[in-house]
Amino acid sequence: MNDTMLGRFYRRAAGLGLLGTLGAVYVALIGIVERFEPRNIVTGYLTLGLLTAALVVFVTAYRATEPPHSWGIGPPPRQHVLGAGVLAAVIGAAGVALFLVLNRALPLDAVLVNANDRMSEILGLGLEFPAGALALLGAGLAFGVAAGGLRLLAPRFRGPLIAAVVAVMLVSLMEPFMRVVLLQLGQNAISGFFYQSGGLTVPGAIIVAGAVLAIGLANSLRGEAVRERVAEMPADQRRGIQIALFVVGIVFLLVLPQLIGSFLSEVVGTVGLYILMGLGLNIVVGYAGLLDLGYVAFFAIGAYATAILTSPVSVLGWGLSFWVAIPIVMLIAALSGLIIGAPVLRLRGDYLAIVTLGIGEIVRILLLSDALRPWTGGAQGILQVPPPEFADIDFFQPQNLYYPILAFVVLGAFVAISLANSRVGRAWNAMREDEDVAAATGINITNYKLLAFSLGAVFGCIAGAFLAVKLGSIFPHNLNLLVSITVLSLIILGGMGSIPGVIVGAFVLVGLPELLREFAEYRLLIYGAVLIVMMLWRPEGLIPSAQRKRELREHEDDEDQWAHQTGVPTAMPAVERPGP
Amino acid sequence: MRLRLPERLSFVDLILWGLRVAIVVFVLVGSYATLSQGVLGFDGWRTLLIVGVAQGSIYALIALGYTLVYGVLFMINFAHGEVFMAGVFTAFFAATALADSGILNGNPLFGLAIIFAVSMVTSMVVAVILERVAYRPLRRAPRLVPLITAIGASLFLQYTFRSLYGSGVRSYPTIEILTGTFDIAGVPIQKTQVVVIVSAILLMVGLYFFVQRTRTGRAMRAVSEDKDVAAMMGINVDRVISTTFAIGGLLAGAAGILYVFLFNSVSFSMGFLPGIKAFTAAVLGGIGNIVGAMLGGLFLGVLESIGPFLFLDGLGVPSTNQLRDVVAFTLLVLVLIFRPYGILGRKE
Amino acid sequence: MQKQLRWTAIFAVMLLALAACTNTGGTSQSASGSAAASTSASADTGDDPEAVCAADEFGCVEVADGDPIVLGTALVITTADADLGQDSQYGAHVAGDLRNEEGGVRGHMIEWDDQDDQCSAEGGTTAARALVADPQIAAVIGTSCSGAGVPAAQITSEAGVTMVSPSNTAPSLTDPATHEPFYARTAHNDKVQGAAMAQFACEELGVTRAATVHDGSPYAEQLQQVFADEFVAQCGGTITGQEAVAPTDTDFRTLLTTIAAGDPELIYYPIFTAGGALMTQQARETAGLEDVELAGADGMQSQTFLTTAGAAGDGVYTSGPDLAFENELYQDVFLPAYYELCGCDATLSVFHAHAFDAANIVLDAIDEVALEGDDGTLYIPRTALRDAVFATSDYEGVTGTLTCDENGDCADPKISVSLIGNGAYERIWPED
Repeated sequence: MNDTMLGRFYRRAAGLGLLGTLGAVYVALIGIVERFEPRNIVTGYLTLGLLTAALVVFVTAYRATEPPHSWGIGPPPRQHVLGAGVLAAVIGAAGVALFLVLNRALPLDAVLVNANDRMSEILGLGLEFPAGALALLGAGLAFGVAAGGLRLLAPRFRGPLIAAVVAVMLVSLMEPFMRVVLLQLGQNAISGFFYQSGGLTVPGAIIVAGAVLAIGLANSLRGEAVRERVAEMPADQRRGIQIALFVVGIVFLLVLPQLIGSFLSEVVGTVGLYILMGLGLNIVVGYAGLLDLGYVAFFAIGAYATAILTSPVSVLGWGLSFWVAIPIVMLIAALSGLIIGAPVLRLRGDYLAIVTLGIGEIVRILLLSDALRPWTGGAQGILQVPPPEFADIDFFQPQNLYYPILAFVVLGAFVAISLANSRVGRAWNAMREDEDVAAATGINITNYKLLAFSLGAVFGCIAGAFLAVKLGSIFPHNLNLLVSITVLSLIILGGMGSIPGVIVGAFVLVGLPELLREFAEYRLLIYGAVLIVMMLWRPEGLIPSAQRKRELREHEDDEDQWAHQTGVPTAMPAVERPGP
Repeated sequence: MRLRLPERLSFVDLILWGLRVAIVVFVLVGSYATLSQGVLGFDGWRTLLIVGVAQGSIYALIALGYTLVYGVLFMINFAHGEVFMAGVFTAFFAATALADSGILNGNPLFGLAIIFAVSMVTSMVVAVILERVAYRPLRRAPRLVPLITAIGASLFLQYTFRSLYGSGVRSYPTIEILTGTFDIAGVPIQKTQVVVIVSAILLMVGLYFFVQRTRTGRAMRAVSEDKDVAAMMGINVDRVISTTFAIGGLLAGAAGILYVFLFNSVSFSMGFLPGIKAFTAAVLGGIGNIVGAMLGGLFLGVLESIGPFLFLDGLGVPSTNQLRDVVAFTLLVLVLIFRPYGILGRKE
Repeated sequence: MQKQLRWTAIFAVMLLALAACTNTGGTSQSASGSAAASTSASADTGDDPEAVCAADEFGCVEVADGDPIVLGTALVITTADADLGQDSQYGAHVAGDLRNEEGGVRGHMIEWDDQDDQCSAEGGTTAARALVADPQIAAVIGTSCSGAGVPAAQITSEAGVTMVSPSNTAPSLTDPATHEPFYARTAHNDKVQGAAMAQFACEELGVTRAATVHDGSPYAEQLQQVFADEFVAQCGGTITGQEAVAPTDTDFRTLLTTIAAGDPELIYYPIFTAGGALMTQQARETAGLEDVELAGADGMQSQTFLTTAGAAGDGVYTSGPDLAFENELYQDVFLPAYYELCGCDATLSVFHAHAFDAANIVLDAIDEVALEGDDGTLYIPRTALRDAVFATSDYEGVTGTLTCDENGDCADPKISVSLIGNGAYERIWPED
């Protein structure tokens, strides 16, 4: 590495250090540091509040220790790896210290609601003013050495070490969940050993870290050999393992509500509704490539149709059984999909998004309006929606309602998978990649789009039907754009067109916030960040479907694509990738 | 509107024709019924019209931001409503400080200039950063990708400002020179409404000449026509795109202050609905078309103000005002379905 | 030293106040309580905890010797309405803290499990499920919003957990047809407040033509409907229009112009601070509404409303619970403890007093029905607890004299109307 490169390397580290400052100050100013402070990670030693800010500085410092691939140079000499880490972390920490001085000198809290003394105290490591700021510089130095040292570790040690630290954080954050499960299993002693005051105890943290480290090391040292052995197994033996895993999975799903109790069953039930909606929107967005921002309309239509049909106090007063109502709701869903879909399907992608958004809003306002009050109850909603009836089982209990939701989720996933691999799915693929070519090969674009729209509507309406019975009543206030955004976000996070992705996305974006109440305040901020970060960094999602990954990545080498889709002639001027 | 019957009437065409007929009948019957009841006198309608024009000029200013960006990038900057919010929400603190120190009402022009400057600069900075961080890396990505990013950016900005400045609705200090009414041809009109309409027109005319006459304006038009050729002619496309976002931001910042003249209150969520409606206005006028955006904004403002009462009240619909957004969104849906290239746009 | 003195003083006042409470409230409770609870088994089984618990449909909460009694809250503590729920939460916690300083209830400290109702049906469901899943939760103070209260009341009632809401006002919650058996509230039923304003409008102001506006919230929609019905039925008035806005609306000028066309003498808009203030300002500017009286409800009774509406607010009538806030318990005991707890110097919202009363009613009821076992375990029979809460009568709380009816409405039904003048509320009606 020559001197110019070295200069560039250090300049980049300094830039990342500034970025670290900005990030840490941002996290503090939006109130995360203070609000997460009561949450223990390792009780008595580390809290989530300080950790969030520290993590930002540490991660930027860690990034500073390696030159980007595009520079085409190998790793720099050891002393410079450490040097860059220290430079970035010290700049990051010094920036935060400077911010503390500013916050002391100026009445920032007149404008920024979170710039209060408590925040300063936490950022200053709980010390008095000048000491805290100085201690920050020391902490920066330590972070820099740690970041550089981590980079210098051999990958087979580095991976498990990072995994162990992440595991401690995750296991600690999952405290509300783990505590309930352990309580349910009658394991109060275990719960008391690992957890205290909402965080891991010191021995608990050591055991978790040690276990993950051991597994990680074993995996990085011996994992390759094990995987090879599995790959060498005869086909029928491998199939046996697959079947065994499948059976274990089924049994697990069936006994799950008994293991986790009524509250967590409620949460899982909610996640189930979002999985259903995710599967439905995935057909529309992931398979057919139509960005629908008004998906909540179907959720609302399903919920209200169910309430009107089954509640004895609704305008119809029929009081139908849920099982009789469900086919009618599905029919209404398909019809509403057709009626809403037909006029809008000739629109281009981005116009379609805005129009569906508008339709979602129209549906929401109408449900709330005085004009439809005789039908929908206006702001008072519809009460007394009865739970499904079946053999004396009380389906108002979330542990029992779990089973019909699970059944519909499994059915939905089955339908979605079958569709993806059928002639219809291939037609959608062709249509998504290039409408004109698809039409030229004889695919009836309109019909396939309508089919996707209607199927999506049916999934959304079923989810809505379950919402109505789950709540026992239905109100218009929460059936808004944010539901559409949530479903879209979970698809994007998991991966467009990917069914495992939908499930993971729903658990992460819907399930976790129910458990980690501190995050509720930042839920939409996080959704927004998820959408941006995923699009910039990994547009194919966390668990991508092979098809989409190829499509979304190939454009990076394909200059014509943009021009083709926008009607602009070929070749944009080369645009440099961002990054200092 | 195309009157030629399609050769084969498909299901979709049937629904589209049904929709057209239903809307026309609905509007005609509704208007006739309302007018024949004569609940609202001439003065009432005139008030609604003025309110609509004032509101519409704000939509028009925001719509210019959409149109400019669409002109050069062919993408909907979904977060533009948040750019609008960012400026005026930030300027709130300047305005309160000025009011507390007595400058705002002691030296109102100076005070207003500072408030406008704070709002416009903040909006501009947010718009430029947004383009640099979120949109520039995605210029060659498939079309849905930047759109989803823009939706994410909209949420992210909204809730960032909520967390930074608080979730409450804040009210701007009273600006004394803007209270009261002007008498124009014997008709009393709120001073604020006059100021808003005049300022909006001045800004729009200014922008029109900027784009038509200046060097930067010509560069913007060149980039909008053909980025490749523009680049070969020595135009720095990246810089032109940044400038476009900056101008859109400046206008949105100014629109924010005008909005406050009318409605006096700011909050983190204030940008979302005006943003969507301004987009409607931009599409209505033909997206990419500056004059169209102005007309679209005015039309939407007036329709929103007069429409619910005119179309629905006579039909016996209760609480017509509640359905105002339904009217606006229905217009959006109808325009996009039947005339996606807008009133002044040309068919692609 | 100073702090100690203050606490001693607070403690002394509190003891006096509580003594007064238990004397008036407590005795009548047990008297009518046993009558109402005659269906439950407590009368027959005497004081043997095991027999009582076995006879109680939902069993007992068992609090081991030395363990705290745990109460739940299900209030909105995040999102836009966080102030509303946080305020009630402090109110309830103060009630617990005051007991704890006194040695707790039957020697057990009071602890809280705070859940978030998110002001929505979904949030209310999750919060209620989380609370009923814990067998140690003796009772729940919640929910903040009526929409959350509907499913939460159903869930807690199925589990036999008594829930008392400080701020639900929707009539359906205590309507005999839809009332859930374990649900009660210390907040006013909208029916009471809407009717009071109608009475004030025709009897005091003498208006005969009125228009109403709501913002699509269940609270405002219900209030204006009750007002409209009573205004027509009680005093033969005319409703010139019932309109609606969205809570995020900022432009009310078109609405007001159309309202003005109906020529009303009064506009009743029981909406919340932000929209209410804007609408007040714009109504003053609208041609044809110069002489119209403006009236709202307790959603517009806050310091924020006064500052936001500014001079336009003068002359607006607002209705609200007739709080006897001058009483010593509130001023000298409750408020200092509240400020201490939240670290603020003004109350966040209006329902803390209702929450304080709700928690005290529940704690008194626990004190009354709990039985002690031989090993020091405290047994709280769930149905008996519910019956004791519902048997509350003439309880002297900070929100007035509370008596629960069989549908769970416990609030003192007195409503007063205030007139805003010079940037302050002045109570003007009823005269007494």
